[in-house]
Amino acid sequence: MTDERMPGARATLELDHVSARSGAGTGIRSLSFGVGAGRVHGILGGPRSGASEALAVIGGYLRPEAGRIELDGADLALTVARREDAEALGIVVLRGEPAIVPGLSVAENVTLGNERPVAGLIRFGRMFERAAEELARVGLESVDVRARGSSLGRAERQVVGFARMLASGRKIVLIDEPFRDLEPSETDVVVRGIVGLAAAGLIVVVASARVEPLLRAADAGTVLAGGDASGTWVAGAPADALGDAGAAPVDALGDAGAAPVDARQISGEAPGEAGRLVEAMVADVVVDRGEGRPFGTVQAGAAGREPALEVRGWTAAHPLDPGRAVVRDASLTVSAGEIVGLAGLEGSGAGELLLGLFEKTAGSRVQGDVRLAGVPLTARNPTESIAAGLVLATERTTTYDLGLIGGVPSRISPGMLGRLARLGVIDRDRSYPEAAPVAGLGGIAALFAGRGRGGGGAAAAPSASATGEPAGTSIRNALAGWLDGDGTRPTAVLLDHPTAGAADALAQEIHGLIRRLADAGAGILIASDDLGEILGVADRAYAMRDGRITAELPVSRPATTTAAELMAPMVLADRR
Amino acid sequence: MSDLETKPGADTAAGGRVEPADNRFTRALSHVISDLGKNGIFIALILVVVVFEILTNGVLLRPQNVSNLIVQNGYILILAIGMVMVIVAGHIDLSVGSVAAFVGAVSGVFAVNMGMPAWLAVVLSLLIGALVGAWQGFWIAYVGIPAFIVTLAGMLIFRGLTLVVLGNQNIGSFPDFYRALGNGFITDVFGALDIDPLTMGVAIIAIVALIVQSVRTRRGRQSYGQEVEPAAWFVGKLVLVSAVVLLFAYALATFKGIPVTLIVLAVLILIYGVIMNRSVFGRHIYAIGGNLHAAELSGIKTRNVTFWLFVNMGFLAGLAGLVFTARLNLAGPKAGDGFELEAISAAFIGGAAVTGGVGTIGGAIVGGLIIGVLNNGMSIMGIGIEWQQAVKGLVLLLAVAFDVYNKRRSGGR
Repeated sequence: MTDERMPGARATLELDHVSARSGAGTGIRSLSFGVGAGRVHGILGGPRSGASEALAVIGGYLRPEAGRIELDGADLALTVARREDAEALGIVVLRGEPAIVPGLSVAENVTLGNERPVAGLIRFGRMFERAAEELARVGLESVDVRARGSSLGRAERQVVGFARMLASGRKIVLIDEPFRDLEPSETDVVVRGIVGLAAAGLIVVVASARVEPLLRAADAGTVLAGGDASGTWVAGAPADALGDAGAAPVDALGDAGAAPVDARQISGEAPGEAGRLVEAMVADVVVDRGEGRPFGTVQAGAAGREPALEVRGWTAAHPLDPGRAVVRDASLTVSAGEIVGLAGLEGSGAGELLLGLFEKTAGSRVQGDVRLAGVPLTARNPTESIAAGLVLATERTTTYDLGLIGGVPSRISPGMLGRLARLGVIDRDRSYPEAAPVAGLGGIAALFAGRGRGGGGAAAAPSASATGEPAGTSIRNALAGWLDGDGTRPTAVLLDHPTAGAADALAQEIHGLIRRLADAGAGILIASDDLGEILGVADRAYAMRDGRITAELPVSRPATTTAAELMAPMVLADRR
Repeated sequence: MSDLETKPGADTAAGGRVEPADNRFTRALSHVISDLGKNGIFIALILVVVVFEILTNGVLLRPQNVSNLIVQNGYILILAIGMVMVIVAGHIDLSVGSVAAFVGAVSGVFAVNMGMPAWLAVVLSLLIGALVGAWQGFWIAYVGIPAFIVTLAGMLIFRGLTLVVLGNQNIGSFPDFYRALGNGFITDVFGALDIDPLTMGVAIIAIVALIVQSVRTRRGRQSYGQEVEPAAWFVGKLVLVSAVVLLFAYALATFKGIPVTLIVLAVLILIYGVIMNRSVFGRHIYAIGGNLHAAELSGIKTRNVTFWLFVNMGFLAGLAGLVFTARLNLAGPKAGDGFELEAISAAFIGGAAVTGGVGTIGGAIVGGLIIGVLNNGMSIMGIGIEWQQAVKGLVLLLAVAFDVYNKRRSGGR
């Protein structure tokens, strides 16, 4: 195999101890790997692992602070200062929703920007043939190239995007989380597309948190945890957890092609392999229990406690696209005085579940029962939820808005304003962030602020609410308000990513407030993609994937194995 | 629950469509129904024509009135062609009425006040129209100001400049060559006959071309193994269209022959039809309107496309201004008042989507004709301008509502 990787024989992309940091504070440290033409390199990592940033560095979105990126032995830093420079070299990053023009034919979507006209006119016969050829290379032979783009399914849209990369002659395709929010059959379509891209001679790098599809698509890969390489794998060979982050065995790639076909059937056959990779994914999780709430606090006295919040068979679809299930048959219980974590990556439905419990219109076709302290919750809007004792705090930007208040996008319905107003008038001079917790609202910054982007991701901006306060401040205010509010304590508190983007000191303060609120008798449900946070404050945790609750486990030991136990049901398919 | 899960992927391009029943009759019927749905706008035009033919006791389709319909609405149809392109790209142009008036006024200065040769005046005026479009396109495409604002400003700017150019008086008495744009007819080339042979000849050539083109398209589809409509329905449609074209030509032939405006229009429809359907520029307009992000990621120079789109709109607005001025033989300060609204209505009645990415030249022309027949028919009936306005407003609302309803029923986007 090594003779195939002779210098000059085929294009290669090499990262040599590359470090970079995004504006959101996430990044990569001393990352090294190499990938040749016709190969797929996988980067396995959850949120804040640096997987997206690795792609952003190669794609010219982020400047490396240290290290070298080489393309065919030439230093990329000399030619690539901006994204446009990378694109000129045939490097492109695919992320987010696949870019499809719904009104144009599939063939036009494949050849978009590269139509090969004759005298300014498109030869449709030739275009259809060419598009069908490119689609066949990425495994979409059965698609009608004359059908409209709008008739494509979600996975097909992704793969049509891959075919466009072939049609436009790209050399290096960097794909960020292509498996999010897909059904298993759709995942297969995307995996076939990625393999097809590489088979066409391109260099492909795929970042994802989903273990099995990534193992099937990639010839070799690197596991990232907290910006460090914590493991590598080569298709067909056992995974290799790294002790030393900096010493990624780039040379091991020489064996990558040993048995690629067999290795792609790894899913289900080698659970140990996937398990080791998941352990590498959580290598950075630090569990800090803080003060005042050791492990097993609730388990000891759980018997006899009444449940604060019970959810049975909760099912909801996307608010704008009722055909797309967001939460499926979720059931959970939170006892009074208990802190329960709900761990899920973006697209898992964890945040959507919380939002939907609080405000039913956050989803469509909602089914399921909610009981609050044993009493069925009949609230139809946030005002009634709060009156019943269910409150929500969120600082995270949601993908859709619940309502427009005075033209300001917000995730709190206009009905909420009634609680904030005096005599029905919103007083602009009044300090609403302080008044909000009393009214049962957390994360009130969202009410008056525009949209920001929290969390990781290449294009992420520093996370701070538009009111100018650091991220997390309004959640802190909300929790403090509920704790010493005017007599009425909430029965159950829903917290959606309470410390997303918050500084460490503020995050610790928030965790302290959460513990005190639980000690005071409230049942608390925290949705988060930060396992350190969940293991640090929760007594019990659920894992969510694809809208389903996939596991439940007590948080009783301060070991990283607990993190892996929690991560596995978030990123691995069920064993059948 | 299970319903939610099975839905994705049920009717995708890969999966193919699921026919409700597989016997020939139901398949033929489903074809006819889907065809009727797709051509709803044509059916609406036919309905409107039939209704007003009855209400006006046959005046609507008299030869002179048919000729009038074309000449009176020519400038709206020209504007509708440019407007539907702008709307497909996801923009809007509110300034076309003012731009038409401005170019008409400038052409008056050129042709009458300065005594330029008429052809030179026409060419220079069209150039000025394109320049106006370039001015607006610059602000929209390169500065990034929404088209709504730029063209709202343009509406005021060029209305004002029209008054400045005219110096508070009308300019009239244009040379014959110029006037032919709005009032001319090509007739009596073969002598003064009752039925003009040239008009009928052109109609027959057009019908033959249509039949040849349709048969070729059908053959092409069959050779690709694609499903085609039933033969009887295919032939029936062709016969119907041919008959309508013949009757229309007969009406023109017994009056004054082919209006010059109709020739201008026919040439524009052919050229712009090819541009929108076959040219890269046209398909990029659809791409920008359908998904701007995707267009940009695919390396389409979206700003340049937008810029030239508005240059083109300015050019067509200028042409509409010339045709209108030629027809009235007068360049006045009130010219072009409300044109923009009729052109926008025509595009939307013709099936263009408010969100962009959808719309056709043919649809906009038919939409413009519907408005034209409404105007003309109600005028013949002696209905006052106040009720004409109200009826046109209602038709616009119902047309778009019908379109929205249709799309929702067929499963959204």
